Amino acid sequence: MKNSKKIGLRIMALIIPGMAFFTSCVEQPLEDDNRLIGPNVEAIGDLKVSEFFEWKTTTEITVNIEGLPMDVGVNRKLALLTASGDEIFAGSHKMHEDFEMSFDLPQDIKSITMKYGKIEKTAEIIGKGVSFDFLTVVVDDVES
Amino acid sequence: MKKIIIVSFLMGMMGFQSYAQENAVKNDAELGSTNAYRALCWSLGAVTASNADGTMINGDYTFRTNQLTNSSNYASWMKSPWMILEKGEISFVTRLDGSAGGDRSIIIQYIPFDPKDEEYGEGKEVKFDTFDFPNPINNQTTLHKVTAEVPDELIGKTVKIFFSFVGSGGTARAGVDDIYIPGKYVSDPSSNCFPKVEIKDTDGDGVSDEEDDYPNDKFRAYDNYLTPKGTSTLMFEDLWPAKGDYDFNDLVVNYMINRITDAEGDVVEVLIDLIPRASGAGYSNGFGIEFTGISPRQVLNTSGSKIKSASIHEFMENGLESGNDHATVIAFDDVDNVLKHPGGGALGVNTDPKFPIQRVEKMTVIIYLKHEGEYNKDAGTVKLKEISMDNFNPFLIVNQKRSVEVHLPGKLPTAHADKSLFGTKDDNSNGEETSFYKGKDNGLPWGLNVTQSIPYMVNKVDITKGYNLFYKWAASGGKVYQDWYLDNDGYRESKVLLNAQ
Repeated sequence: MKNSKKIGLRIMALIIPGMAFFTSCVEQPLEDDNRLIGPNVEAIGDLKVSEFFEWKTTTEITVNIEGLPMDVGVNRKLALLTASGDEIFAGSHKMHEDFEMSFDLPQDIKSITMKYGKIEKTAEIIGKGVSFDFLTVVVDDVES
Repeated sequence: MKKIIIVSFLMGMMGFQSYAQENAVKNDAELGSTNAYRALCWSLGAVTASNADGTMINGDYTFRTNQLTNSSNYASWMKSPWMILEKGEISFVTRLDGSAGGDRSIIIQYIPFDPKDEEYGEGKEVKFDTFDFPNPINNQTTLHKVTAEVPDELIGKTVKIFFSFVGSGGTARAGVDDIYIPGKYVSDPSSNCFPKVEIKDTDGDGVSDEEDDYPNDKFRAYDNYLTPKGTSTLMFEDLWPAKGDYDFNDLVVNYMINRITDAEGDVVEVLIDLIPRASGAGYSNGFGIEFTGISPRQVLNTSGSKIKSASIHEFMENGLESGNDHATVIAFDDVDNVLKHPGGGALGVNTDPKFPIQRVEKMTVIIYLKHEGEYNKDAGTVKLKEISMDNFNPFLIVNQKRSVEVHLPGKLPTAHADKSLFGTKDDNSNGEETSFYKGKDNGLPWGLNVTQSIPYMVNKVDITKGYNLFYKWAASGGKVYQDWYLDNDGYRESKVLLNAQ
């Protein structure tokens, strides 16, 4: 009985440090929810960042617009807006010309709206870009 | 009506690039997509752009109807865009696919413009010609070039030409290609394809009053703000190249930049609204902005800087600072010009809650790039994309020492910076573009740019004490808590923040 107790204690003595070792090696996920929000306990003196971190609070987004395939003689205001209605671009644009421009936008902006005359389209930002065209997709009522 | 049977109709693909410049509207189906034609204001019902052999006429695509077993003019149809017709012949090439059928015809109609129809602007269609495929329909695949004279009463009128494909019995379909309609294209695809209307353009710059931010100024057309959500905040430390206390309040300046463009898309003026909010320093710091890549010669003039009489800076005739490779404006050469010290032994201005908050005032610096349409022809105009966050390079000038500049991390110094300071003390600048103005041991910056107006730190309290998620954001390389500066629950510690504005 005494022997089995001793063996049990020895096994525990081996297992517990082992568990601690393996636990400390498990990569912790980045905190991406609000659980850790609260009075800050991290000191600036401990903060080290990658030399490649750009310290930007914006992301560069490229907006592409495919123009119409033919010149229809329309040149008017093209406006690009955020979901909250803030204009990020305004300029005259010929409807048959392609458009490409990059914008540094706050990182909470997830979609862009294009306005051109009566045409208004909203598209999600995918990766670092967003694309538009002037087409209206209609399903043809044709027989196969 | 002439009906010409063409045994061998050889017509090359027509690579039309313009509707606006031609005196005819043409359609050869080669865009291969009905949605592309709809965007050009054609309307199609039960007709598709097809590469099926049975109805192919030429090129890679031909319009292909449904099986024509219906006498309704809306069973299978095409409508042209709105046009002002001219004298001449409407023409197209057509064929059947060889399947069986009773009769097959193409009705040619026009639709007058009717403003009372708010959806399409269409009045009642009027038939003015018909093409009947010769019988028998069975096994018929002959190409026919069909022409129809534009009726005299339609010349100069705004109409659509409406083709209806009709028939009875069987399964035969028609192919249609190389449509030609004499006249001017007047549809506006940006206005539900209604006919173009005269725009009100008071200043005559080509931008309608409705869409012009400056309807009475032909040299200005659009406002374009560099950041979309109002003012942004710049915050600096001033002990560079030594590390500071990271309260980022040695100079706090809000900014909003409007790049005013004209109808050609050239930047006419750059309006820089600045609100110096705080100076937590004992130093007499200055503040400038370089627009990297913009030549000083492209700038006609500047205004609005606050420069003291015995300035350390030298200026060009156009108001930019002399001796720089890129256009550099000194907004103020001494923070004392723009923020009044409260006295009473305060170390700085608006950074110690024990002292009253001093009034802050907006100042506007303007960089003029075009004046009444004129610009420096040798240097060229500046396009909107040339003034972006990428080449916005604001900097602090430390305590009246022109050669000591503090820039945002990763930004390059101006030509006046003392290069011998780089890489000394705590600075990591080593010539690599991304290395400038970052801490040697920790990668921390001496300046921050936040695209919102945010409170700044009380003197001597580092930024992680006021913004609870700043540490996590920075430590993650910006992957988490990208919104660390927002006023969300638990994000800020207001007791160590000040908000002069």
